[in-house]
Amino acid sequence: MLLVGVGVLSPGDALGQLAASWNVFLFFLGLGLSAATADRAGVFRAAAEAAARLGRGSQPRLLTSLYVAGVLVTAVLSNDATALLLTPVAFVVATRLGLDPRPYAFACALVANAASFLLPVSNPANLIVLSHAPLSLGVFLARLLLPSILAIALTLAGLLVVFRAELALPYALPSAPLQRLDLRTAVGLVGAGVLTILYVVASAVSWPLGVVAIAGAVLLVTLDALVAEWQPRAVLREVPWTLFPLLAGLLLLVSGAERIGLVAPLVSAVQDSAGLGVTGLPVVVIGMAALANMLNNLPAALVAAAALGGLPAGGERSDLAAAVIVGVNLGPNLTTIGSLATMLWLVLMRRRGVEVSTLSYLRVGVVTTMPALLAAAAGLWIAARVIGGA
Amino acid sequence: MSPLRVILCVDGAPPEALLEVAVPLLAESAVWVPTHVVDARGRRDLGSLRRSVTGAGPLSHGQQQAIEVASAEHTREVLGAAEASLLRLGLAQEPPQIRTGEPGREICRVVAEVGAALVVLFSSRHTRAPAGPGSVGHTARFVLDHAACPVLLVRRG
Repeated sequence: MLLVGVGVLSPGDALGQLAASWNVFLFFLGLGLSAATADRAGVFRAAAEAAARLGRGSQPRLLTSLYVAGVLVTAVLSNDATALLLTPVAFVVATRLGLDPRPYAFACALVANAASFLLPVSNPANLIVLSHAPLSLGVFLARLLLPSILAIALTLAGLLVVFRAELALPYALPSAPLQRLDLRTAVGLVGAGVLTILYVVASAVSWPLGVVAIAGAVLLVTLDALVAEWQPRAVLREVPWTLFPLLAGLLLLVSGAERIGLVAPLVSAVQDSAGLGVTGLPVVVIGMAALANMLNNLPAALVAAAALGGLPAGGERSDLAAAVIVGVNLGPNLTTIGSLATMLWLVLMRRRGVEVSTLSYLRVGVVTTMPALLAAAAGLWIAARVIGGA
Repeated sequence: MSPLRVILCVDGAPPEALLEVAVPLLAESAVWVPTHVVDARGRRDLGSLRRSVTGAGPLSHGQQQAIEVASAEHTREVLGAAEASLLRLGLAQEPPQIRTGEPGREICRVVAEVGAALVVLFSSRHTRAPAGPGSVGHTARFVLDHAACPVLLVRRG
């Protein structure tokens, strides 16, 4: 609004910008609906309880099972579903078992970002980057599967190390049995399975993912309505609507900043790194991670996407897009208590006598994410060299 | 003369382990007060984690309720086990104390309010560490430093 008001953007430009991003908006809406429906059908609850059984009394095993559930949810329903819906459910299950719920909450929050580049649909930030530098599914996987596996594995290893004391005690399943799998949940699980296939196929043949996400959501909502009550209002209430104005605002803010040349240094930095070839990729990953940590991942993705849009299409741009995706997705995990700005705010809070365990959060972020970030960067470098050499 | 009150802090581990150590040490018969603190730090941390890593807002009403229910079920289970083992050993007991907050602080509050003569708790929640540095956890450390009565720490496992 302000940008339009001071004349940086004309109202027409602003609307044009937003209309051009229809795919991203539709994608957000589709995913939000799918995730809310899956949650109502008890899919997340069933996943967490299956993890509790699989853990068989060992907390490291329980954490690993929940983490794997988080990888699957993130890959199919995106990072927001894991962060918004799986995390509280994991918290509930840990509380019910009488365990310290914090390691489990951290595991879900971190895997939401670490598993964010398994598939193009795993994080809306990917879509933003891909809208400026399209990659086919094959190209995406060839570059990002290895870094993805490394990031996922090392984040888990970091969690198991940081929380080893909390995870040392065994647990017992409560005497009252956990909920049984009912028809509604089973249908929800099948729906999620179909959705996965739909996404993979759609990514492979490059259909616009926003449309696919909406189609998937309609499918899930319909299936759920067939076996349970039809409650459209209840589903709509659980869609994170606040994300839409936020995203719109971000889109305009970044394009405004672009217009007046604020992001030019960043754009040229990304473009310069193209000249470095494959060697520049780890630098881009780490630079983007730092940027995502400062700005948050969506704005960082928008800025980077703008830079990528200015490059000629080709293998080099694909490599850079992959590097941007890795950095933007993993960056927010670096300081688990948010960006540098949040850290400063917390230090102030502590001075006022509010107890904040900032240091322990920082430790979680550093131990889990530094190795994951470096390994993912190295993995990307290897993947790019292999592809480049082939 | 009012009976000697002993606070029995329970967190889900078998309370027998505490009683086995404490009962033989008591010369006169005591009245036991089972005490359980629902640790509120986890939920607070979940809030900051959601805001920072994921940019998510507060938990929905349903999510909050699910956490309340799980926590209440666990509390009931823990206090039920404590009551049962006190009964089994034929020990006198008062109604349990249930608090929410930081465990160390809340235990000290209960000690002061009940006018306890002794507080019995595990030395650490998480580790089964043998003797050595780190075998006393934050909660036990806090109670040891701040409780207005003698403290009996029992090593786990």
